[in-house]
Amino acid sequence: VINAGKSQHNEDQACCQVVLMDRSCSPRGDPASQEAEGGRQDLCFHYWGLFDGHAGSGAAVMASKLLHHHIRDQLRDLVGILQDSSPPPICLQSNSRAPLAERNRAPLAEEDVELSNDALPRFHLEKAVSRESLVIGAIENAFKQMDEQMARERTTQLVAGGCCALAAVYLLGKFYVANAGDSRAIIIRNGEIIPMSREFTPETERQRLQFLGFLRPELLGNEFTHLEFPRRIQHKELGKKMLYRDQNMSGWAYKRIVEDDLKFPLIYGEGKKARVMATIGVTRGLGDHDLKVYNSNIHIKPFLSCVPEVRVYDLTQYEHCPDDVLVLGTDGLWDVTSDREVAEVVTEVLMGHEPNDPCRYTMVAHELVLRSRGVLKERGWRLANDKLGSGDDISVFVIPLGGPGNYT
Amino acid sequence: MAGGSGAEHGGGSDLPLRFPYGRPEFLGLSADEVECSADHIARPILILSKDTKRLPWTTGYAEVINAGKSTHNEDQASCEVLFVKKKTGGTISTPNKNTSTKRRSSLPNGEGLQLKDNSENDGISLYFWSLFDGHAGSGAAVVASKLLHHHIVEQLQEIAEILKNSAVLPPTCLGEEPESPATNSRTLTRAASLRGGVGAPGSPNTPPTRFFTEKKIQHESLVIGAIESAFREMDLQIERERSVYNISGGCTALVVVYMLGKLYVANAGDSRAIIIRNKEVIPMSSEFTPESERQRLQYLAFMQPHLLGNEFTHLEFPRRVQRKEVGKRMLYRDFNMTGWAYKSIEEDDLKFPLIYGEGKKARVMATIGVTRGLGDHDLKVHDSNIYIKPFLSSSPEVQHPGLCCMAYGIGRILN
Repeated sequence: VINAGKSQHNEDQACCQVVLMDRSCSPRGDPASQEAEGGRQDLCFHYWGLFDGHAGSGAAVMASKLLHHHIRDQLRDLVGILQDSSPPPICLQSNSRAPLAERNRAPLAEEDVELSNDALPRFHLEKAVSRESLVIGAIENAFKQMDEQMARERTTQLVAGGCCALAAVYLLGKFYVANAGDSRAIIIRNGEIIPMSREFTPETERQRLQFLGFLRPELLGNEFTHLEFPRRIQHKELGKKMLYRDQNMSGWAYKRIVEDDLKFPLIYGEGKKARVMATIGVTRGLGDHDLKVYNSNIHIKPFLSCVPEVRVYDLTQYEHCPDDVLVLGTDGLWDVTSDREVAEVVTEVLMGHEPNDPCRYTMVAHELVLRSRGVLKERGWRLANDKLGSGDDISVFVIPLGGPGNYT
Repeated sequence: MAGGSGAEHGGGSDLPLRFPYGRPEFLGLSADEVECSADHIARPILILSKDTKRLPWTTGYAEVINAGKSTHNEDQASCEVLFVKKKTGGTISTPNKNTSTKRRSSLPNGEGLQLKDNSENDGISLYFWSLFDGHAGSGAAVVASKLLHHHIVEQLQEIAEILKNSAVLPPTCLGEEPESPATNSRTLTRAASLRGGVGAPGSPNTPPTRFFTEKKIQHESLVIGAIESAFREMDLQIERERSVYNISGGCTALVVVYMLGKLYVANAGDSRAIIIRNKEVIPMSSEFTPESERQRLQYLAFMQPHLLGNEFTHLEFPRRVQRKEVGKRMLYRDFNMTGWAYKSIEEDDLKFPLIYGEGKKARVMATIGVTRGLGDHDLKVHDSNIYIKPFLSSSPEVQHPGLCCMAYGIGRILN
């Protein structure tokens, strides 16, 4: 549902696809490598994406159209490896993308050891890298590639604003939930809530942001201090002792105020009102390459990160029933509805629909949006308990964990 | 732990020791007994003897020396009951003195110690336990075991008055009157806060006397801040004094403070604290190793590449990259990745990885296996001029469980 007046357009975007990773489309496409792969199947993944745009809808639209392509590009190189039961090779032999038979599990042979480091002992140390971590690395790199494409193309096309990105990928029996922003994903399984994401805000990322401001003071443009104070400091407080917090601290302490401390704090505000450089309230996402502090030449982008946190959920470890779901929502949902309340709505609505009713999950999504938007009354949009509803754009996916199959 | 030789290096052997080497004071061992306990074959387990006074709160303690890793037992410990006097002008303890903080020992008849409650007007009592795991020499651990609690007291003294006043939140500015709620906080409208609004840089008419939001800081946050500052100050003191004294090596630090009915566990290193309550295990600390801190270390090296001295790469590889692999694609992991991916190997990737090894063998710059602690200011990569200290941190993680008062020793704390 659209916001209650915050912006002209609904700046949320969504995408839901089954993406095929076709070997024959691989960029090298040389027949030799395809023969070597023998009887490998084409691989596909299921994909859901939610994008909460801000300061314009361009970035969210672009991400909703292209992010899954980047994920496909990153995963495509790994198709052979992912379907192989042996661990991923550390080094890909030859120029083809297909790995040769793996011999690397044995300790390095004498002639392979580096001769230049005489002082260091010979190592047979070799980390085993799981296939799962390759998928995680691929998704992380896909987000980076998407962000880079936005950076490149903004000179030729209008890519306005920025967006959060929450993506769920189902591949080979596992769900990978990647979040960069303040959207949220939870699994509701047998009434139990399993968080599948964390939110990235000036509060949760405070120490990372302060540390960056400390290492690179030029990014603060002489207008901000990397220190955090409970409130703005007044000139008359110079020389007095006031509460502060720096990048190494989770507690607070007193310091004597100096001239520099009068600058605006890099992180300021609490909860939903926490802001980086008084401008943005979310610290991860895509786009925002041109976002500057109001009336200044200070860029915000260096403080933002496009790298998602990826959590993995193994579907094979549990026998799921038709009422077990993965819920993805932009912050419009979570601002007014708690995880527990979402779980209750899920249970309530699903109880009223047959397990093989193809609309049942749509009904859940609808109810979640409805209960967060509320009903328009004289005093604005109100929820059942007369609390204020969410005036933000609200977008929700409800994904059955038991799969799209028919349940009897 | 990083391999530590028995030799006392760093600081120069002609500098005097800051404190003579010994075992924890509360064990009450004579010099001969200390000597005898350093038996790497028998490895006697040292505990409080029956005639020694009990530790505060009937604390149990036991230690044993290593099996040959170093000449001395490089662990240290201390257990104190401390008193933080409210600031009236003088300080109760100065870290520069060799004598320990003024403290009340347990009573001779072995009665468990009761902390006086808050009805005492001139200060706050607290229990303090600490463990230090030294490496590359025993100096830092000895110094920390003697002085860290002084720093804790010093930092707490600053805020003792505020902490005693449990009904009132700490003032943002010391010395000002606590504001009445009516004039205190004003919240910004959403639009104003998104674009800076009133008071932000670039906005017109910055009002001098109004502030729109004020964070409420809890008492516990001040205690946590004081503990964090104490660790930092202890590390700074070691840094300063190593030109005057022989303070060898470095150490981890695990500290537990019980004060005003609350427990604080501060860990910088790879020691561990757990609570066992009703057969349930509750972790009270995280360990700081090249594995758990990988991304922080890689990020620092990425932002300040000169720290790598042209000998290391900040990227992580599953094994050493060989010259014949240049141009091939290999698995790697960067500072902002938790997963792995393939990249084409370049010349730079042949350098030794900043983080290398797995589990207990994980090392920073092939040297040290723990990434937080005190000391190590002179630690360098073998045969080079590259310092490790910039990658280490003296900041502890402080956990503060929401447990009710642990009087009567009902809760058992095992370090």
